[in-house]
Amino acid sequence: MKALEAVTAGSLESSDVLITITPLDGEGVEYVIDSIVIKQFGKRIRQVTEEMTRQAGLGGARIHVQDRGALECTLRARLETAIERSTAS
Amino acid sequence: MSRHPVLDARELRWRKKRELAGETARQFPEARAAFAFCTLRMPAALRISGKYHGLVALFQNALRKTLGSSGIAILAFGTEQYVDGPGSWLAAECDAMTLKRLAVELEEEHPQGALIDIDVADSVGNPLSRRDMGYPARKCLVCGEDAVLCSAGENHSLSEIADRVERMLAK
Repeated sequence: MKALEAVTAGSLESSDVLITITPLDGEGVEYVIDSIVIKQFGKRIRQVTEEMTRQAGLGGARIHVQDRGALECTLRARLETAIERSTAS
Repeated sequence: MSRHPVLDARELRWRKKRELAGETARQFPEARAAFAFCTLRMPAALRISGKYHGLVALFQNALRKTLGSSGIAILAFGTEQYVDGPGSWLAAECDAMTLKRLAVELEEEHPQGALIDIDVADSVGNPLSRRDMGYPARKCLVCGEDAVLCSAGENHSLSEIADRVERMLAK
């Protein structure tokens, strides 16, 4: 499943995360992770992002995660919405 | 009904910020505008309890007063009710860094400033962070540590936070 259009989900409010997905040529996925708690939670944010992208079967996308201290459940919900939006025809 | 009403409300506010910036630029093409958005700084369960709505109005007024005494014009202002709690906003005729500085002063120096978030965005709706401006991160209401770590790590219970909020209001 390829990313068809550039989309966002979420916000840059405190305790939230803004996910931006843009289509890329090919099948690969590029990840860019920014977080105000990168030292403490950066590894987990990347792990969850990669896992959800893989599970959704998303390819041909650049995924930019801008985290403002979101809970993991928030990150998952935002990723799910962003992936849905990027692949909706 | 959405599965995530609180997340939807945040996204709605985020879009509103962008729309507001566009609208203000159209209405006041000559003005250099910056935006402030006040929301309650506490868990959603407390924000929607209705007990603390007055704080948003209080800080909207305090910010307007501060701007007035700094000689900064207010182009527009309003209040909003979202599913995750009350909010207010204003558009000021100044650069975003000036507005952010005044907002941080209120958050830090007002006796109840710790209970409010005043987010500031520039003329196109991009947010300015404390970090961008070299200000220290906000402290946790309960333990005084870096708030974002306590929040992301869910370090305190709702009742612990609620007690702390009540004690701050009793000051």
